[in-house]
Amino acid sequence: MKFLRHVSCQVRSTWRNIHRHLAINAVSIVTITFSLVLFGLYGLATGNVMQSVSLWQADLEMVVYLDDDVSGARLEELKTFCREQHGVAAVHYTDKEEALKRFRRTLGAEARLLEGLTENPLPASLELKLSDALIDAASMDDLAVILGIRDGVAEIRYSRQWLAHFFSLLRFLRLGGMAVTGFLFMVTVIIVSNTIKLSFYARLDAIGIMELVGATKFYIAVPYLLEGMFQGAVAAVLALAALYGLFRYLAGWLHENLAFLAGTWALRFFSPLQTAGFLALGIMLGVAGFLITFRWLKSA
Amino acid sequence: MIRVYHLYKNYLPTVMVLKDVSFAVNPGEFVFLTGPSGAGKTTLLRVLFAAEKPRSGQVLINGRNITSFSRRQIARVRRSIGVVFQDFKLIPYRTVFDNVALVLEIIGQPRNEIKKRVWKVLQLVGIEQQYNRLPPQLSGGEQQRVAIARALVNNPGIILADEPTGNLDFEITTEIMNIFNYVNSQGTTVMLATHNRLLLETFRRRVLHLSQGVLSAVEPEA
Ligand SMILES: Nc1ncnc2c1ncn2[C@@H]1O[C@H](COP(=O)(O)OP(=O)(O)O)[C@@H](O)[C@H]1O
Ligand SMILES: [Mg+2]
Repeated sequence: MKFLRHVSCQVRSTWRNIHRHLAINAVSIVTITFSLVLFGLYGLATGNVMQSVSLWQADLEMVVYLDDDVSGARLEELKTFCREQHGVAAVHYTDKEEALKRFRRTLGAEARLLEGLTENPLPASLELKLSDALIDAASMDDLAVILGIRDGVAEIRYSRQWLAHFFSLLRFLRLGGMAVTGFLFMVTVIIVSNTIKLSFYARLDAIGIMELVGATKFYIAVPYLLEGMFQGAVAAVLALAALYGLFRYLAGWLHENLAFLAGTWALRFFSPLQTAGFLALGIMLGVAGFLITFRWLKSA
Repeated sequence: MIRVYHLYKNYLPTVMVLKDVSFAVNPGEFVFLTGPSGAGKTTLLRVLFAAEKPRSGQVLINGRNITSFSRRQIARVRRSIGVVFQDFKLIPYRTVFDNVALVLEIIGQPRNEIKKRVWKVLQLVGIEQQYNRLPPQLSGGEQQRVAIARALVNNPGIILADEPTGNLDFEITTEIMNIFNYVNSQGTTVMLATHNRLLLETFRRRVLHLSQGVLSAVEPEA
């Protein structure tokens, strides 16, 4: 009960503080909103690209077509050799029968076209699943060359080059995005901390008086903690609204202008859990700003 | 109850403001603390509610030695002492009502209880009509009453008042002294600093006299 009364009282003080320093609070909220929007864009972009990439991941393989006259021993040798290559995650052997069966399946109703065949025209193959380690164009080319000159290998086919380029770009963006976000958050926390400090300075006399009539430092600090949390929460809501608007707009644009991607792009906004996490992040930024101020207050 | 033993206090390394001050104030007593301006009255009162740390000596409030108290303990002991500051120390952006209510908010009193008690004490000091005004809109005498109301609102066992009639005319001074006499008659210990000789002659109480930091005369009750 007493706790609840304290809370209601503290909330009222917080509200009074915010009301008195609307401009300072606005600056703080705009700052947090701005960095949350950037972070959110980054999150949405990487999230959606990752999503699509996992759809494309199936393409990340290399197929080694074999000569028809490869002996069993030679085949085993080739399998082992492929498995030993850097960046090869798995090797699957598809014999001629299997290849034909698969081809039939893909033809579906048109499969009767194959009925006149006297011998199987499809080669046997080794399908190599590639791991992330090999996701760049140069090393895929290298691997293709190494495998291509082996005895018994007829032909090599592998993923489009641009995909490999795309992956290395993505890796770069992921790292860059993380660095930029980290820096942005640091700046945000400093700005929030400074706005709290300003609102605190404006209250220094009153704070001294409160201490003289028996308030603890903690009691005095709580409204500033709540102020930081309030700023973070409001900013997170604003950022989410802005992000949702942007997302809808961009998704619409992509749909109209890049319709051919419709099958591979599965655009998604934040899940409910991610949305909650986003709110929590905003509040945490506010709290971090407060904690820096409070450390300063404790030493003062 | 207040007990002070061999209290020394200095602000600057070379100037001792309080020198070997010892005295006792019993529960329910009313004492004047007198002495010329600069004698150390404010400093002594500030040591009593732990706003200043003494250089040496012991200060017992209600039997507990506050000189070794933590911040949290200090906050606690301050809630049992009502202080009327020489410069009032009212929060300018809080209304009269909210200034007085602050003390009860800090200890987590229920809202309706706060309303009841603040209203009662505002009536006692005769400032209830201005309850919704801000301190800067009040006269010196009115601010003084608000400061007294804040000191009284939590029914503290001890009241420390630093020149509460400082620059008020005699009529208002008498009214304010009547308030202190009333709470003292209800059992509250009162220690009131003043350099007004007329006050001592009108209201005859035990006097602690400070002169250049030395408690030179402890007169018996008249
Ligand atoms: N914060 C301070 N720093 C340095 N000297 C102070 C401070 N406060 C008071 N003093 C000095 O201590 C002496 C006593 O002051 P004070 O306790 O205010 O006396 P009184 O209240 O009797 O007028 C004075 O000489 C004053 O100048
Ligand atoms: Mg003084």
